[in-house]
Amino acid sequence: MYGFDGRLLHIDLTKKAHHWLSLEESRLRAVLGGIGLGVSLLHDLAPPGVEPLSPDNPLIFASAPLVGTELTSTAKYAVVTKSPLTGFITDSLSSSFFALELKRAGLDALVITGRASSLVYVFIENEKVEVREGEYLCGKSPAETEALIRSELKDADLRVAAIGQAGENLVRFATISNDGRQAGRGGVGAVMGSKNLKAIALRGRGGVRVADPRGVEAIAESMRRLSLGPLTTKYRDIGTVANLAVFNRLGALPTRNFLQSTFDHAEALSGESLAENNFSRRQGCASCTIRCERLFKSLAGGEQRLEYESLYALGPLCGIKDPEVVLQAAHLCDLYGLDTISTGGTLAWAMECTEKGLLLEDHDLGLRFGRADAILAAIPLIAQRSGFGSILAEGSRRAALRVGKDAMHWAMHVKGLELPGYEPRSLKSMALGLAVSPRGACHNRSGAYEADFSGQVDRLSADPGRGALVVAGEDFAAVLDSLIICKFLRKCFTDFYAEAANLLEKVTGWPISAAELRRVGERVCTLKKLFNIREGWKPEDDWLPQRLLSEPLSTGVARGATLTPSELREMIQGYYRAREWHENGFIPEKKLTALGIPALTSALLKAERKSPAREREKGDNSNY
Amino acid sequence: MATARKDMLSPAEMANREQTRNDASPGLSQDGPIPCTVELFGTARLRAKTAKVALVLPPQAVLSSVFMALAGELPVLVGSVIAPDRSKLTSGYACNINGLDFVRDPGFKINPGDSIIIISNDAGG
Repeated sequence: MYGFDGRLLHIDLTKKAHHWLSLEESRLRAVLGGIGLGVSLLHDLAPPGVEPLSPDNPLIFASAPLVGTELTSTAKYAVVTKSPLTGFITDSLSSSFFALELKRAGLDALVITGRASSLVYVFIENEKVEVREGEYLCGKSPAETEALIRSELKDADLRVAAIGQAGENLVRFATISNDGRQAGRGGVGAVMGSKNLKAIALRGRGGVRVADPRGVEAIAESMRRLSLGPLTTKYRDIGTVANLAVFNRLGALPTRNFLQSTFDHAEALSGESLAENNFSRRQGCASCTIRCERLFKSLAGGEQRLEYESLYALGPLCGIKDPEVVLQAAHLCDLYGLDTISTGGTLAWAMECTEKGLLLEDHDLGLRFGRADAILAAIPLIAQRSGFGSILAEGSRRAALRVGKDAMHWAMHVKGLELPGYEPRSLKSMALGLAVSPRGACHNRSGAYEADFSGQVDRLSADPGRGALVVAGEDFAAVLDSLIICKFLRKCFTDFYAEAANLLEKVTGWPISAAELRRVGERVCTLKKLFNIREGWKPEDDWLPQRLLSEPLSTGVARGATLTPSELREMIQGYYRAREWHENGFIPEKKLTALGIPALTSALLKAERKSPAREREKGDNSNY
Repeated sequence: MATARKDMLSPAEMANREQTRNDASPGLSQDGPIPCTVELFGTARLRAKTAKVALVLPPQAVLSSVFMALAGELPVLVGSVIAPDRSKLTSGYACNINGLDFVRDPGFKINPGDSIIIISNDAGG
């Protein structure tokens, strides 16, 4: 098989056993790799109703056909599991050397289940699989963990994905970190921590086989050139932090827990100011020509990587105006392994609750909008689950339920996942994308802001036609995330599905049409929703926080803009129609059949029932 | 040729926004010189080393007139932000009027007092 190794490694930490499973070509062609493969495996391997932090919840790492090829901006992997924050699917992507090593180790997917009796880490070197004692790594940051494991195994080139204290303490928005990057959203780090798994260390010696090396090389060369052209200038020259000043000008920058859509101190926090005053250096993921990462100098010493979402969530959302404080807060999140968006979102909720007098005296951490000392003091408390930090570690939705009164009104989440830095009242397509996203409030799984920011639609008005736009964006993102291609390369395609199908054919040897590839996107999105339905999704879960539907914007060019419940309902109906789902959001059987999902899932279940038992009987876990 | 608004807005919305733009510049006529402001963001700002440029355009100016005048004020932007023919932006950039409407039509009519906002064509991240 080209582009894939056709196998999956399953490690059961309770039994300290592992086995290899074959992945059928029909499955891989139906869902590709990355998030598509991860979602399909989650359907098979997660028992219905599984508790996210229980041993039975599978933690799935998935590689993809383009990873490890010569194509730029493809060194990524997916992490898929049932989220402890939302109770639904979560699918995160991370990047760089660990992704390449996963591929070189011959793993299309790595599935972890069970729970070790004490803290361990897993070491995989091609066929060799070891579960190693990891108590000495307890409390270490992901970066420290990587260094210690490399030292222990005397291999400076090992690639390590690890959790920090937040993951160990089951903070529901803990991340998994590798190479300074994070699988950030939905609490994948907490799932890893629940298994007493501190880290995964990889050493791969294999290569990546493609069907048409010359064909791949020609496309890769063309994409390399495009990736260095005007279509990626923003990422190369400033990075994603460039968004902040623009969003502020357009009245789309959520500020002070969505009380405002502009921030008076945006200029000081802008990407342009950071570039002038704090820039340290630029770097990129492995084998990426765009090199979008910006590291900024901190007064505290050292340098800190910063992206727009971290800047927004730890800055304007919390009323923080000092870039130095934002850099330090982002550093703390990386140190402990916390999702910056959910950290900022939960802290902003606590700030508003404190200012409104909703918190008990012993819950008052001094959190007020703009209080730099309080935010820096609170982040470690969350990671260590200390005092009120333990309630904040549950995320804004659960914390609001604990606090009671009107606290839920100020919890800005969808399905339990805190909102990213796009103001839904002035970005109506994005509003719909956030409401219906299977993983909760996520901007990346629909990219619906593109329509709002391009003039393709009037971003301040709502109409049912947005449904088709969001569907197209979701399908597109699902294909990118399953091939995998970084979204920062997305504008370098002129006819994405045709070009990507051609590329996939050259990698895998599969003759695949543009229409078939688009169908894969639809199938993957449908599988995500199907999983959520199985886990108890209800129509009211596709909705936005009450504040967004009851308070007009109070500042900026979009002042007075509203999003009414009926507007949102109409857009959601338009989305369900465009998906050809029932008007209550459930999926008709004939739609599942048309996408080949019943045959796919039954085949997967059959394979899973058969293979593990056989492998175990063979004693294929003798490496332990 | 100058055109009105992008055609996705309803006639009522178009009239309302046009009125808003006219209200923002009371006493200024399209028949005389048209003062306007160009706001630069991101790479454009870093290259120009300025965030704002005040321009006075000839009567009946349209969007392409803005780029032509801006190229004269800030030649450093030609080629990277403004296309070599100076009538439009390069493919990496987008243009918004007054923070509300994204426009691509080079014939889009500029009103006195308008802010022409130049940003990256890529909003994601």
